[in-house]
Amino acid sequence: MRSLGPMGGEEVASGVGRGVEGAAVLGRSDPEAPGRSDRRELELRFEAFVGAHRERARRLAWRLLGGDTSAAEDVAQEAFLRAHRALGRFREESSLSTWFYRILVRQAANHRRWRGIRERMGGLGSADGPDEAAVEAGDPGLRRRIRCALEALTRRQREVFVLVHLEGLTLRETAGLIGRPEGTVKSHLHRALVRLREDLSDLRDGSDANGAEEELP
Amino acid sequence: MTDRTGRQPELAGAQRDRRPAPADPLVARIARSWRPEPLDEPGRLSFDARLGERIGAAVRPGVAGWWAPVASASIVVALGWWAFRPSGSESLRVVATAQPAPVAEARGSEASARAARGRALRDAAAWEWELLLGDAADGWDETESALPEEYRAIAREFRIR
Repeated sequence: MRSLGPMGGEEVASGVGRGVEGAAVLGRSDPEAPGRSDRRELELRFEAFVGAHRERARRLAWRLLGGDTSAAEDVAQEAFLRAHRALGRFREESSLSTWFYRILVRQAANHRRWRGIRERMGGLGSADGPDEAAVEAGDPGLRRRIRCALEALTRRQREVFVLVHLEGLTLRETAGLIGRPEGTVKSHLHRALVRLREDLSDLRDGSDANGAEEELP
Repeated sequence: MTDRTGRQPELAGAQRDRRPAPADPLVARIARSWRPEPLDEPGRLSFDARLGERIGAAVRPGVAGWWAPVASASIVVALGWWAFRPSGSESLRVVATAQPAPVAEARGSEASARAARGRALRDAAAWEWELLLGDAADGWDETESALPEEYRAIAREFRIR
């Protein structure tokens, strides 16, 4: 059985996300020391999970990291590695995808924080800065403006805006993912929208700065 | 398949009642435009669970035996090194891609990838240290609940506010 996780990717690890089936897979009776076969099965399922969520993880990281392609790949990969290392400690209190994306969002925040430190201490542009070539793909002007507007938001505002409006999570899922109450998420979301509407007011009529509509890939 | 805002329609339909108000044109516009280009090398961001273990085994001795004393003695030195070092995350990617796959895929030539791997392992250890500090600073113990107290203490001291 396959089911959709909150992030829209397939929970390939059937039942791993929720319920008794998942508990059996994860060896809930002895979660600290799953048997070798259970562990192997879990790893195989995790690999399938990675396959199903790889692109989405990379896209979410990219959106959170200001369009930095190489950083997004690093963060996505690091999140998968960290999740794999911690797989034995995964509990079914949340779905596998919620658990994983919580790690990913945290990794992205860490990356931004340390990038900022390097920039401040180095006094120069960071090697981890946005990949300009990638950012400039599509409509360069439009993407640059969106990137600047998103960068001007606070971390939480940016996270909830990306998770709710760009990645399609519900308020409750987002609240669970960032570990904040639903009301706080609503508040961040409202402020993010107000600010984006101010910064990008001319885009609301559906035409970009060059008057051309950008098509979906 | 996604709808015009980039969401998966079947998911959006199932959860529509719990979502905030429909996105306005600006949000839809951002959703259409603010997305990465498809991977030019689909296999590049690959993941091998066993590789994760190997990297972990390679990294941990470096953290415990090398970086921890350095940082304990002088976190300023460590942070200074951080500020000027090459990207650790880039190096970690070299490790992850060079190990199981043809190395030419990752770095252009097998020789340069082999040479880079030693440096990469060292940097990966440092990158791991950085992440541990970052997590400890946030009091995040979701996946690192066994974080050593010495990491937590250093992270508290140098917490980023």
